[in-house]
Amino acid sequence: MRVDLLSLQRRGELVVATFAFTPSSVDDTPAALYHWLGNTLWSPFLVDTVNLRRHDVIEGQQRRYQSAYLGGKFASGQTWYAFAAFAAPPPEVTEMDVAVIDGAPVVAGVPLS
Amino acid sequence: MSSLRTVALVAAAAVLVPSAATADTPLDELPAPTSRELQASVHPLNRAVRHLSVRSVRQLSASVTELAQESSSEGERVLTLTSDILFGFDSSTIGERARQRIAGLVADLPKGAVVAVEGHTDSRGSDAYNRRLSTERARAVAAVVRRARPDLRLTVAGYGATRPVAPNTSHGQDDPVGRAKNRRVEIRIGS
Repeated sequence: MRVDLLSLQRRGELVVATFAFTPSSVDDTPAALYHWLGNTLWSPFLVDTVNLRRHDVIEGQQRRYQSAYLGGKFASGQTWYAFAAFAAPPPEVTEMDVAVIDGAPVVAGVPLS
Repeated sequence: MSSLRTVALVAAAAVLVPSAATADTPLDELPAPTSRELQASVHPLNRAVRHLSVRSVRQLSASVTELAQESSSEGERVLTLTSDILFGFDSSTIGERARQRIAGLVADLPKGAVVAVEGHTDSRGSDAYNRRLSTERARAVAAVVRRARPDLRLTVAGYGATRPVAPNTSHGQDDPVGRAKNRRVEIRIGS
């Protein structure tokens, strides 16, 4: 699975991250992100290394502020785009670490645009 | 071919046939698009965000976790440090800013207090791996505490995934929120 972090953008009180997922497999059966991640819920998070805080995807009463990981199906070699929204850190924070998927190294020091 | 499929193909063709003005026209011979046409042709990948509205500050603040949370358990004061903030993936190295924060957390403990530093992981990975990682992380935190407060009497242990504070799965499904809570180092201060 190739995962690209396309942007990490402040939008008022939110930070919105945009990702691209491109699986690579001998099995070309289309599947949702949940299945490509090994039947794991997609739950990215950010780390504010200045104030030492973890920022999870915002949860409302009925929904999480992210693309539906059970929504679209895509096959090996195809790219699926997704977003996730987080609470923005204080204004002095100019970069954050991004944990795109569980059990993988974070992308450190990503500038906020 | 069934008639239903034929009808469907005809209908699709009717939609897809380009207008006469654009069919096989070289790009150079097409009129320059207007700025409105240009804007209408670009779609942001995260356009769904435009329709989101955060209803309360509570939703925002609930999504943010501080490095340390304090609680009490069976007469002990417990400082729980979030591993996702403290450490990188598969790492037991603590950054300078976090070292300073930990030193501040133990600055006011009673002289000579008995303190247990205990590492924990989520349920992913083998037992051996989780034991080793949780022990290394507990040792790393203990080293910071010892440097800041050499008078404290420390014990250090790593329990791997054996002492979760939240479910790692829910209704048979992976629970990333629970797993995140379980990735922690606790500083337990005896009474």
